Amino acid sequence: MSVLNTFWNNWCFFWFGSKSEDDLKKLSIFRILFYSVILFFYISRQADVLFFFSENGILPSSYMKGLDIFKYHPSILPLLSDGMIIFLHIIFLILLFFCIIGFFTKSSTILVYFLHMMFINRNMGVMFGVDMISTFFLLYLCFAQTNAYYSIDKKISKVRKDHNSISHIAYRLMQIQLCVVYAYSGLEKLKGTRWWDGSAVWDVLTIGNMQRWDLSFVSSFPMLLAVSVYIVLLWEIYFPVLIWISKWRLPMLIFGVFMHLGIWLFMNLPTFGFMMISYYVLFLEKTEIEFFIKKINKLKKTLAIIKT
Amino acid sequence: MSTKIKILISAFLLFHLLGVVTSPNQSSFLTQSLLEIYRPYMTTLGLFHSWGFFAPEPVSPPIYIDYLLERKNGTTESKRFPNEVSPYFFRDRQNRRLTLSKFILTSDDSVKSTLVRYLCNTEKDVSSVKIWRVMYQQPSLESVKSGKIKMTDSDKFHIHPFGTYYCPDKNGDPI
Repeated sequence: MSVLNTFWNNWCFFWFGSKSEDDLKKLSIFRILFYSVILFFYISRQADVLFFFSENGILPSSYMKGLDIFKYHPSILPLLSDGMIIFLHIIFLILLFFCIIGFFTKSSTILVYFLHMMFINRNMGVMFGVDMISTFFLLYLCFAQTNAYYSIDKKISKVRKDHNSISHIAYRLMQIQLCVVYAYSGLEKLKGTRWWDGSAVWDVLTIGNMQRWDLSFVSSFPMLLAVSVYIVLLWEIYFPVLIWISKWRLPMLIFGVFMHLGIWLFMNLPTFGFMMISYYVLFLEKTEIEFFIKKINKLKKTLAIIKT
Repeated sequence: MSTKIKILISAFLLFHLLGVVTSPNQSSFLTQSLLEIYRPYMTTLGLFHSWGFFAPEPVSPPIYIDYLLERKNGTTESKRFPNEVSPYFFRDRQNRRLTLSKFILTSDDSVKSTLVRYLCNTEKDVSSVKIWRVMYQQPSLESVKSGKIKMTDSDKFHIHPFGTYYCPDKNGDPI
């Protein structure tokens, strides 16, 4: 019975009891970083809206409806004219901007999630990593209190600064979601022979469409390539555990930042890395957040001096 | 918050988390047995995905589609989708097209209903479209180390003919 009691108490503390005002600052910073990356990502889609999503584009809705992968994927786009689809995408981008600046934040986050789903569901054939992972966070952010700091909402009206329980649950779900993504990503790799024999990083670096530079010289260091494979595997698999242990938390995050910057530099996946890094804000401590804010303020002052 | 509400929320959280944790492993017995409950819930919310980035095998060479347009006047024109060198400022535009090319080539029906239909509608006076699947093989570490080729070169590429498709005329019949 005492084991159950302890579990229940810890469960309640994790989901309901551990909320603090500091989390509101984290959520506000996360809001700015995450939606900025997503806005950049979806601006790139604007030029292709009709090609991807209209009835005269690459995927007619009549064909889409017959496919099993589109089951339970409702979308209003097949009912709209081409002009309306373009207009809706522009509205989607404007709402993303509202989320960044914290303007009508609550309504904007909900509408962003809704429109995001409409576009994703219309053509899943053009969906990849960023679309998939961002969906989870766009959903959870609908419930999170993200406008307590650095928002227009805060300037024009009184925003409550006590972290409500639902928002705290959404914050916890986002943390867990990141752990699930990394755990699966690592465990799935263990099924592959190339990850076991240490040649996977070579394979990834040589994927034709992802190469930015010719790094042929790395073929002279197969040992280094193999070691990097095992480090990535260990890091991904143990992330969901070590991130909750205080002395491991920061090293895990720092490694993650470098790994994602590496993916961006060497594999030409610009948005993915920055989106993943933005999630790390959710795991930072108050002092670390303050450290970064100080650095940004210092940078701002320096830039102001240079300007004058 | 009262204990009753905490229990209710906890029950929902357990339900949701079970979906989040099991649905990426779509081949497992557990996921399969829960599929009827979770698929509508997770899919409607957009949460039914697997997370295998470069896994289980990292080799995922880009797949291109070569096509030959045959026009009514007898002329032909060959093109590649997407272009090998990204012409876009935003790299993500090219990445989406590469994802799309794999989706298009999943079946004969898919090729017909997506790319062929699109080309027949948008290209002028096209009577038929011939399709090839083009896949590059990544260079092995040994061949790059020996200096035979560079890392950015492909060892070889495979071209598989996919089929010839005829555009329908105004009445919907194939020409």
